[in-house]
Amino acid sequence: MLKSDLPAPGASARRQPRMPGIWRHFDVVLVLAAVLIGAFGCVMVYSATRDQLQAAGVSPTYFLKKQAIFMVIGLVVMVAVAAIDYRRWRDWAVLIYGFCILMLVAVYVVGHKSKGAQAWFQFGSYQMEPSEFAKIGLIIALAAYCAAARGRLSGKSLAVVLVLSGVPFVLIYKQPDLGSALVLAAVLVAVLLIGGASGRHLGLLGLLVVVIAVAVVHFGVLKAYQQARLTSFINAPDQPNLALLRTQAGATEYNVAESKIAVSNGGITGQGLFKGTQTNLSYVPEQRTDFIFTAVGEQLGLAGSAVLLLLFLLVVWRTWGAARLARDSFGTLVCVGVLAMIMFQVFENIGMALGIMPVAGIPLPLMSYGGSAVLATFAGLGLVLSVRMRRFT
Amino acid sequence: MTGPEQPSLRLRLAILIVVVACLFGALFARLWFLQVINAPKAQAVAADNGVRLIYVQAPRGRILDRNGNVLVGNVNEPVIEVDRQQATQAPDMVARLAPLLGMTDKQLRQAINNLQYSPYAPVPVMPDATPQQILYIQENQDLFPGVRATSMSVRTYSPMGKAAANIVGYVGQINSAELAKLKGQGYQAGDQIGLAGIEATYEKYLRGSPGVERVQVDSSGRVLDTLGTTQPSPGHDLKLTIDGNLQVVAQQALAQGLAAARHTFDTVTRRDFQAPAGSAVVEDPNTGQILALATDPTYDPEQFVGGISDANYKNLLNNPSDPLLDRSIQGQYAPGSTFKLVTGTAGLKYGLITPYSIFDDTGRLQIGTFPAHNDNFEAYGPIDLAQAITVSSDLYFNSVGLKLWYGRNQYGDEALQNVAREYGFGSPSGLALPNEAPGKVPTPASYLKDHQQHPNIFTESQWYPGNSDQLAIGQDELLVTPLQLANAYATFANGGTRYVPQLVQDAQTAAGQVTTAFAPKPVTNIGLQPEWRSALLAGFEGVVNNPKGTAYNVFAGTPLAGVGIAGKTGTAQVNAPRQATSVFTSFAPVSHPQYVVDAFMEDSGYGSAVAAPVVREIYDALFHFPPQPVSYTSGGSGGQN
Repeated sequence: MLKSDLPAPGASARRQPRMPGIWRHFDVVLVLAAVLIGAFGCVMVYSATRDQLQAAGVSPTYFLKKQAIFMVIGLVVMVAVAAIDYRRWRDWAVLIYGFCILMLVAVYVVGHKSKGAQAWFQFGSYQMEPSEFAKIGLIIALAAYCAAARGRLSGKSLAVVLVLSGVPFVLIYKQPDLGSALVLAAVLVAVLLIGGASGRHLGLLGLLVVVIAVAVVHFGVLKAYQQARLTSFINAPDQPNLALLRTQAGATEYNVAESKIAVSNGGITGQGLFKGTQTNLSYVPEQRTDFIFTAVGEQLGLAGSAVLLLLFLLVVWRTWGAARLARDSFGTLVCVGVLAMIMFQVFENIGMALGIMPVAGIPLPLMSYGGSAVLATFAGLGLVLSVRMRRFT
Repeated sequence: MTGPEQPSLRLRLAILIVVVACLFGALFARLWFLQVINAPKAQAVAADNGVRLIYVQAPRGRILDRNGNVLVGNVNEPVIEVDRQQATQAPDMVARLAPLLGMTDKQLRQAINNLQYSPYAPVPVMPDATPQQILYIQENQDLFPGVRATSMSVRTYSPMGKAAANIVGYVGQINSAELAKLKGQGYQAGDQIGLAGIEATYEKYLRGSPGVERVQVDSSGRVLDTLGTTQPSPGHDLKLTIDGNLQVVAQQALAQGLAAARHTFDTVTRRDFQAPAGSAVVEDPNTGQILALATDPTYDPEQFVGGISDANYKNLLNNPSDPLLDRSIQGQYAPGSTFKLVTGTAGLKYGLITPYSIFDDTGRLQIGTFPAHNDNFEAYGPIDLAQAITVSSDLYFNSVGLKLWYGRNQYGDEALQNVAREYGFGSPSGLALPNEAPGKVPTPASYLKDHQQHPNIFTESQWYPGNSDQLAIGQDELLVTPLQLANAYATFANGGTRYVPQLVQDAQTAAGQVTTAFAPKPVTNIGLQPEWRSALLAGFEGVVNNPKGTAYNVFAGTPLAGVGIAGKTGTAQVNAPRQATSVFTSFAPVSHPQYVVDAFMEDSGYGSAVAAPVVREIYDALFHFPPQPVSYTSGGSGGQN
C-alpha cells in the first residue's frame, strides 16, 4: 500500500489513478460478469413471475423489484467485503465459524418452516437463510485451518477438517436441505485438493464417499423423495408420459420432464422473452428459484443459454485466476472455496434443468430469486476481489 | 505450501481448472443436444402442452314429416351453469347458490365437479330451472360470480312426434364405450347422441359439427387466452317419408282395436281376448316409402329429454307389455293366410297351378295319416285360384305346398321358401332403424340345424310333408314382421319390384335447402307374370268386395267400398295359451295401387275381426273419409282366416 501511495516519478504522475493502489487490481471483468448475470437474473425472475402475479392481482414487478434491491445490496456488500483485507477474516475465522454454527442451530430451534424445510429466519416480510451464509463461513474456516497446515495435512488435521465440515453439513442436511449440504461437500473436496491433502488421503476420502453413498441408498437414510430425486435423472425415459406424470403433480419426474421439454422448446434462438409456453404458463415448477434456467433455455434458446454459461465461465475463470495469483495460501484456498461453491451450484442447478444431474434444491448463483443466496454469493465474490487486490500487499 | 509457485499447487490448480472446463463442456454438450437435436420433438410436445380444445355442441337438426310438420324440434330450456374455476375460488357463492337451487352444499359441489363435462366449459348444474331462480340470479349477478342463467337446447316432441316415438327414437348422453369408439369424430363426454330410431341411424346428419374453441391454459388449467374459435355448424333437418297425421291415426286405430278386442269373448279359449299389442304399416308400393309405422303400446319420448330417470327407465324395461319394442319391425308373427300370396305365386311359378285350373275343395285332405281341413270344416267345392284366395281355402294351398314337397327332386328342397325370400321374408328389409328383426323362413335344413343346436327346444330334426302343408298357409315356424308383410304386398302391388322400405326423403338445412336427397332403392324384381298377378289380384279384390270374401263385412256399406281396396285376412294360430293373431293386409286402389296397409293384432282372433277394421280406419284417413272408429267385427259365417 505504501508503494502505491507514493507519487510516481515524472510524467507518469498524470496517468496514476487517484484511487489507492490496491483498487488498481480490482477485477472489473469479474464484477462486470457478476453484474451482467445479476441483471440477466432479474429479467428472468420477472419473466417467470409476472403472469402469475398478474393473475393473482398483484403488481407484476413484485418479485423483480425485490430481486433488484437484493442485487444492489449485494453489490454494496461485495465492494465492502473487497475493501476489507481478507486476512482479517482469517483472524476471525473461529468466531465466524462459531457464529454460523450458532445460526444453524438457532434456525433449527426457532426457524420458519416453508416447503417442508426449516431453513429460514423470518424478519417481517423478509426471510434469511443461514445455510447460504454458512457456505461462506465454512470456506473461511477451512481455508484458515488448511493454510495453517502449510500444505501438508496430517491424518489428524484431516479428521479436524472433516469434523469442521461435518457439523454444518449435518445441520443443513437435517433442515432438510440436501442441496446446500452438498455444496459444503463440494467446497470441502476442492479445499482439500488444493490445500494439500495427500493423494492417499484423497483416495481414502473418495472411497469413504462411495461407501457412504451406497449405504445411504441401501439403508434408507435418505427420505424416499430425496432418493427419487437423486435417481430420477438416471431412470428418466426419453419420452416421458406427461399425462401420467401430471396425475402426481409435483413428482420429480414431472419437474425434470417439463424442464427438459422447456429447454428443448427454446431451440437455437428461443421462443422470445416472455413467450415461453412452458415457463410462462407455469408448466415448469419453481422457476423463479431452482428452475430459473429453464426460463432462459426456453425463451432465449441456445444463444441466451450459451451467453449465460460463458458469463459463469468468466466468473469461475477469474476466481481461479485470483486463486493462482493469491499472495498466500489462505487467499488461494478462499478463492478455491468460492470457486467450488459457485461451480458446484451452476453445474448442479443447470444440470438438473437439463436432466443430467439429480434434482436438488440449489439456487443458480446470482440468477435465482432469493436475497440470502444473492448476498452470500456477492460476499464470496467480494472475498475473491479482496484476495486479488491484495496480491502484492 | 509456501507460495503459489509451488509445483504441486500449480498442478492441483491446473487439475481444478480442467475439472471446471469439463463441467462446462458437459453443460454445453447437453444444451446442444436438447436445443438443437431434441428441439423439434420437444417443440411438438410443448405446443400441445398449453392448448386445450373446448367443444360446443351444435344445435341438433329437426325431424320433419313428409309435409314439413315438425315431429321433433328443439326448445331452449332454462338452465343454470357454473364456471368451475370461479366456483373453486368463491366458496361463498356455492353456499348462496345451493339453497336457491334446493340443494345441499355437497350436492351442488358434486354437480359442479361432474366429470362428464369439460373442465373448461361451464357446467350445467340445474337443468329445467324455474323462472324465479333464473330471475333471482340475473338480478343479483354480483352475488353469484361465475354463475350463468342461460338456456340449453333440448329435444321437444309434437303430438305427431310422440305418436312416432318408435320411428324418431330419442337422444341421451353418450356412454363411455361409444365415446371410446367415436372419439375421433370429436365426441366429448357429456355429449348428446342418438340412442334409438332415426336419432340413432341418422346421427351423422342430425348432429352437425361441434364448434371448437382453442384456448391456452396454464399448468393449473386456468384459461389465459382464446387462440381461435370455430363456430358450431347446426345439424341438418331430416324430412321423413312419414305422414304425421296418418301416423297419429294409425296409432289411435291400434289403441281402439286393442281396447275393442279386450272386451270381446274368445269362444276358442273361453276368455276375453288379451290383445296386448298391435302394429300397423302404411307403405307406398311405388317407391317403398313408409307413410306410417305404428306400434302399440308405445312410450313418451319426452321422458328421455335431459336424461331419463332410473325409475322411469326401469318402468319401461320391466313393463310386461314392452313399450320399447317396435312391433312393426321387431315383432315376429306367423302371417297365417296372408302368406297365400307366396304359395299362390310359387304354385304358378312352378306350374303346379294355372290361373284357371280348378281344385275341388272337398273339405278334407289326407296328408299321410293326418286329415287336414278348412276353418270351421268348410268345403268350398270346385274353386280356381282367385276364389281360393277370396274365401281363403286352406286346402287349395295345402295341396300346392304338398305338391312342391313331393316334387322336390324337380323343384328343390326349398322351392316355396325361395319364393318367400324373393318377397323379402327371412331377412331384414333394410329399413333405416336399428335392430330390425329378420323373421324366419323354416326349411328342412333349418330344422336339422336348430335341432342340433337346441335339441330341447327344437325337438324335431326332420321336415315332414305336414311342415310343407302348414308353411303353405303361413304357419309352421314361419315368422314375419308387419313391415316385411307390407313390403311383400307392395312388391306384388307394383308388379314385382321389391324396394328397401324408405323412411327419410332428404336432409335439409334449417332454411329448407335440400343437401342430401335419398332415392327409392329397388332391390330386385321377382318376375311376376301379368296373368299370375291378375289372377291373384282378383282373389285379393274379392276378399273385400265379394260377399264371399273374408273381409267383405268390414268394408261393405262404407264409403271405402267404392275405392277399390284389395286385401287378405290372416288368422295366425299361436301355441296355447296364446290366442290367434289377427292379421290383415291390403292395397288400394286396385287399378293403380298407391298404398299398402297392414295390421297385426296379438291375441285378438280373426283377421277380419280387429286387424281389418284398424286398416279400414287408416284408409278413411288416406282417402279423407270421416273416420269409422274401430269396432270388433265378430266372426261371420264361413272361413275368415
